[in-house]
Amino acid sequence: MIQKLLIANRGEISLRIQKTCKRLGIKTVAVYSDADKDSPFVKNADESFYLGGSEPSKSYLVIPNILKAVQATGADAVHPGYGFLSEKTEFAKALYQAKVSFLGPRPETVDLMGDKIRSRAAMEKAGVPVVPGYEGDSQEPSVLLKEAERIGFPVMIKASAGGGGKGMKRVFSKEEFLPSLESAQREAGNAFGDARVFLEKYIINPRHIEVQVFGDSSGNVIHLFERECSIQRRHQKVVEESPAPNLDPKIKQKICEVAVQAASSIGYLGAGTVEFILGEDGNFYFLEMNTRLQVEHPVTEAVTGFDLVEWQIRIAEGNTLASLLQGKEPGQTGHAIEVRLYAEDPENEFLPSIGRIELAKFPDQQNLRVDSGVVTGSEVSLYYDPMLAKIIGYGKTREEARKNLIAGLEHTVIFGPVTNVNYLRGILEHSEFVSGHTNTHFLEKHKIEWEEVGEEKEALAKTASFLVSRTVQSSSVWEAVGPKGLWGEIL
Amino acid sequence: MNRTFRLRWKEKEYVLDLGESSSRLLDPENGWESLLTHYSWTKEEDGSYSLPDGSVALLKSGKLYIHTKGKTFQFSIKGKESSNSEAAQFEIKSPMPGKIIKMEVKPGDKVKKGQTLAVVEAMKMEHALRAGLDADVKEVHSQPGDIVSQDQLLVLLS
Repeated sequence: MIQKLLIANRGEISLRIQKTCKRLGIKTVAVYSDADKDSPFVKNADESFYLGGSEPSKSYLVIPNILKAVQATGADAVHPGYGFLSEKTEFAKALYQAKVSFLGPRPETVDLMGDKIRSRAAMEKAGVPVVPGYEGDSQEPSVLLKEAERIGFPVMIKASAGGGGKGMKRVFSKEEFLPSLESAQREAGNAFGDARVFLEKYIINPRHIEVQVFGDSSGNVIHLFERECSIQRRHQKVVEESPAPNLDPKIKQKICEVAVQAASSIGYLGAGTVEFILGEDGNFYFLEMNTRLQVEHPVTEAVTGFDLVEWQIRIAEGNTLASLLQGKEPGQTGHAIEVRLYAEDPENEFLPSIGRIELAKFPDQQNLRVDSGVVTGSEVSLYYDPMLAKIIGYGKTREEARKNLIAGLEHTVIFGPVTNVNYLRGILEHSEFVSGHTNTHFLEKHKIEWEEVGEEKEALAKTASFLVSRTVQSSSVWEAVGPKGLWGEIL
Repeated sequence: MNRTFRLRWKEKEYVLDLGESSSRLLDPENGWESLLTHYSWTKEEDGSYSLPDGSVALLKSGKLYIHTKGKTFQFSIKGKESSNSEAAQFEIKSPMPGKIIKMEVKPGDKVKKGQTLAVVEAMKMEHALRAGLDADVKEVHSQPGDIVSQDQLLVLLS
């Protein structure tokens, strides 16, 4: 049995893990950097241990310092959260060697899945579909054409030395192939001094569908259904939901089965996520496997009713999935949608917005979950990811979940750093989102309207009324700062 | 009691003419104005103010924050700050706290409008700072590796 769990992470995920531990009667240890010394996740833990400087490379990424924290506090298990060391083989290895329970898969699994080429090969061997392509040595046009036909059009020609779209061509038919190849090779040669190219199937309007899986130490693997995470900005997920909208039940079943097959083939232990890319034609392909708890795990918790952190703990203690399920089949009830609230400015190229949070108010309402790492007075620094909170709406139907989430966002107040809250609402209110037509091009393709005409007037009207009432009532704020100090010039 | 205040929001400056129990909102650019009714805000324990409709307001550090109808607006209420002045174009300041990863000019260089002068990085994101006009580089105040704060002067053009 785990008695004391050290959380090798920070912010909202540390707090979220602490919550489950508290319920299970497990003591918690938070680790922190200089920048985080006053953070809620440090204060909320039973114990805390100082790691080092604010930069992750001086604190959260330093394995020896975390081992020191484990030793000093006598923790018998470590939860890595997500990011930082969660998918570093050396970390998992170091903990195994120190005989401390690691709440993740075996080190060799972390290693295998962290390697794009080896994991792809392992999946192919296990019969899991991977994106068809050709990465052979031959650059002969006739050979490449044959390979393109094998892959099936449309195909993508990409520069081997590639990047930045140079030497990249989309080819929709056999006739276009040779001229496009010539131009791709020429572009690649000019841009990188290396004309070599490889081929990959081009997937039209792809969706990002992932499946939550769990494995136990007896070799059993089950899935906890899919999550739709297509709405991304620069490969960063913004909105996630479960179940995936408008997904053919047959494809859904197959994709979940294939995920189990993928995880079983490598003897997966603990919580993991198998990510797929799903084409318009219903074919799907393995992208990668994340060997940790995902940021978006709350949507799965909402529809299955399970606490995934509890499962991670129980499995690390040696319990089987059967004992966790107690004879019940996992089910998917209702619908859940999560959005990631970031300190970034959508009107200014999504630049991170840093500084002190002057006021943070999160809604407390039914069918709404808020996993946040900040409170009034928290400092958003440039050292870490600018995610402030995850807000998850639940409902019997997708529409109900969407409305609950929008209501939740309306009552989310962050004063200080600019946030993407209005942008998130704009996505949730977009007609294509409402009808559940999502793909990974969503945010590039659709203009997200997040400020309606007349709002400026409304806000200014409220402002004016605020000023009027303050002026007339002579509030303490007014007296404290004096009219000239804060209100600007008096004409 | 007659007070006029200036508010800045998104590059625009508004003049608020506050009367006894109502106020007029004057937009010098568009010329619209509206008469407003007088609401009563309630002061909360955390120092913020609220309205029964869920609106929240806070005054802090020269800023006025208003959250209304589910959206947040932030106004600068420092009266003297002039918006988009001529001088501002010559002062290249860091838009955010971050680290200088590139400084592409040195004093004496001639730069063209749109040319990248420096690149600042914060939270894994890069942001290029460009010249707003053709100019000469007069002074350079930082170099790659420097940690800079928001609005810190990096390059002075002339």
